[in-house]
Amino acid sequence: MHQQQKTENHQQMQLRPAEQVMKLERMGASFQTRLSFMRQLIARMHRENWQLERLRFDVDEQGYGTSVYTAHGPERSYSLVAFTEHIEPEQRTDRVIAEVWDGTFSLFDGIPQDADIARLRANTPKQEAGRFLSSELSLARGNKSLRLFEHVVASLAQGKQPDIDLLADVGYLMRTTAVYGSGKFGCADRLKIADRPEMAAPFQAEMLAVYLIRWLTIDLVNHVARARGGDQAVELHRDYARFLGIGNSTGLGIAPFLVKYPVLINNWVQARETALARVRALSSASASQIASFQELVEQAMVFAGEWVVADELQTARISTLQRELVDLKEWCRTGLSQSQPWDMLYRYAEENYSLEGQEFVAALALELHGELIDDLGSTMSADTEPKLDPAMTVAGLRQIIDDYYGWALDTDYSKNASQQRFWYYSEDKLEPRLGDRYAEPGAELEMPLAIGRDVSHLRDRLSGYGNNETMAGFLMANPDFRHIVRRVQAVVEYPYSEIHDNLLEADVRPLDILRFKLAFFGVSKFDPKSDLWTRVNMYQGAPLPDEITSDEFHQWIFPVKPTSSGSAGAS
Amino acid sequence: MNGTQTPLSLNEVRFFFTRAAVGAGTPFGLGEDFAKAAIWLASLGSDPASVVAPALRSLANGESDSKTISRQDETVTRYLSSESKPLSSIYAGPVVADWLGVAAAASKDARVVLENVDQPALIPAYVAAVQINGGLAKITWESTGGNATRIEIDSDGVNVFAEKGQMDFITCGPCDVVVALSRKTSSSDSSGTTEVALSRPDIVKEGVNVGAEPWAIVFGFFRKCLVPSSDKSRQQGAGAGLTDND
Repeated sequence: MHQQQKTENHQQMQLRPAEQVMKLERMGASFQTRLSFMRQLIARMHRENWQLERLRFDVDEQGYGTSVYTAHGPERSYSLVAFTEHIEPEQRTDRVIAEVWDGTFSLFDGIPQDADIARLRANTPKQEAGRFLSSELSLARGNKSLRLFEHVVASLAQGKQPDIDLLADVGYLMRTTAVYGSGKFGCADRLKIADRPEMAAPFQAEMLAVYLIRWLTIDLVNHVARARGGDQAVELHRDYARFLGIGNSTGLGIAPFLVKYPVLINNWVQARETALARVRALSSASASQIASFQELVEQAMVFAGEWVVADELQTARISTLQRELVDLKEWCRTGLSQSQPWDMLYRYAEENYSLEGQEFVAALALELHGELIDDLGSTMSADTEPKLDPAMTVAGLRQIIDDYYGWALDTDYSKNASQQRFWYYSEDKLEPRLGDRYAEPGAELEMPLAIGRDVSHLRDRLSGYGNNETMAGFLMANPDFRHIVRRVQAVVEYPYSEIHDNLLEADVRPLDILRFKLAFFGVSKFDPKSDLWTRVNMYQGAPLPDEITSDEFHQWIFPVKPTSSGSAGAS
Repeated sequence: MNGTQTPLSLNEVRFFFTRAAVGAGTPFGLGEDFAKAAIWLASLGSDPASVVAPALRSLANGESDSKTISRQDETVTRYLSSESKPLSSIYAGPVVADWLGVAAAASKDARVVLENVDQPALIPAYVAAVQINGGLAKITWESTGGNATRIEIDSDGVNVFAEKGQMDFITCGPCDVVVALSRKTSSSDSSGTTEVALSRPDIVKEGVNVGAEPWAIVFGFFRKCLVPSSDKSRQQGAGAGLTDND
């Protein structure tokens, strides 16, 4: 696709507005797309013929020890340094406040020498209590799924493949409970790697670490089974292995992140919405495109059918989605033969489907148009932050508030329910938590996430100043508004930078924020455990390391449970 | 954490210093600018914790005044404390940077005096964050020990001049600071000072080194932003259970 055509497409179709896509309810129905960060990483490794190598595997019969897995790109190598150890069940928690983990990991920039590994062995298992250097790009830890790990090992040791239903029910051998990057605990700042093509998209170092952890977990079950079963043991069938991802437990820490980095969030959404607008602007679909899309819908139907969770609300939403996909399949028989078929597709979904269905269709529509949209992947990072314009007048700022923050001004913040919650860092390892302002101490130390409330108060305060007063003068007298003035000024350039809802509301659902971010990461099968946290699966169905350059496994958006004989049902 | 075992990353400086300012009593927006100022100091080779720790302490103790008032003389704008005590550089720095931004946007030359500032070295750190667009900002002070320092900032970077070529950013206040913005792009005023050879470390690759004692002060103020934990908050305030053996 030539740039000129992209520009024409972009001009023909308006992007969905922020007031539509940045509402929490819709954010909480997000799905991964081909621009999601895991997808971008796998696509790049495939395109650039990355070589993946296990350099070290010094583990005992129980799987405890030190391992090094290296990914060689065209110009640089990156190594996962992994430490696995025994922990007691009562010590195993997915919370930030945990002190020990089954596995701890550092992503090293290059190939580590013995001295590097020795230094990391003294620090990586301590996680937040360790100290790291700019040679480390990411720090992570994970806990085994005890029920699946032991079952897989026991089966393989006895010469059998594991029960596919249990394997599919859990979906991973280990779940990460934190994957840190960008300067955490002394690790390299994002700036160090920002100009590397392979790190241009957001979170590529973190995503690579997780991909290599997945490889380690598969090696571990094979190794421990062999040690236990000897000659009787068999290897995990590669269709089963490919269906295993890495689990992730995600909690409240994500919510502050999304508010803290408004330019970054804008760039994520801007890229996705630009991609959707480009696709919707296409005038027609070829017969082969229509056939491919219909195949994709059928695969999505199987995938959605295998998406089973305990949460009642999410179960109901999945059921609705399943019905909508049946309808979508029917609509595709004739719908995509119309003029502007992808726009018609989206409009049909918007008029007839749930939010979950609408966002699923939006993600599906992007899937077959890599040539048209994949260039947007590298625009999703942000290496700038909002700057204050002290010369802006009170009238100018007031106008921005009125134009962009209607959602904030509609709320009556004098009501207790409008400010019931407050977000804070606990002194327990800085764990982010959500408190009740009227029942718990600490509200005076809340994080600055009350964007709507603060904009509303700013609007009130501005009314006491003349139109031509500059922000310099206003802020000298009102320094407590400095943070929010800077933020408001930025929204003109970054329209998708704000969540258009009140995060202090009594009934706020942090889960919606978690899902939005995780969808951009590329996770699937959201499995809410409460309103405060969710489990998800990363890289389920992704090519195994020795398949990364193969075209056969390149498309892995909707992994389907392998058959019990060990062959994959699809994808 | 005890941040002295290895250098701090820039992200850590941003995170901890922003909240250290808040812990010392500033609004969050001033904390954000304070952290940027700290990073600028680090980029010159200074230990930012050593420079900012006295300013944090004097603000938190009430020895410095957070309220800045202005007075216009015939040729100069003066910023001073509303009380008879030193002006907090953490508050005055953003005020003068904003003023400079307004003057730069209007392409005007201008001159301002900040009276009795508690930590003068923080002022250029705030000014450096302003886009000067072809102009030159000069920040000068004479420390309590009588040493003159001049810092020049333009779009190409920064130069520091000091008596004997020695930079003292830690114990130089309180004293008056003069900030001048001109459309000239080169300096002709040496005032008996010598250019200081700055180490300009690559803080992206090497991180930021901080001394144990001043870092403990910064970290102590940071901790004031944390909410003490209770059994209830531990169980109900965050996601996931206390054990997960799924």
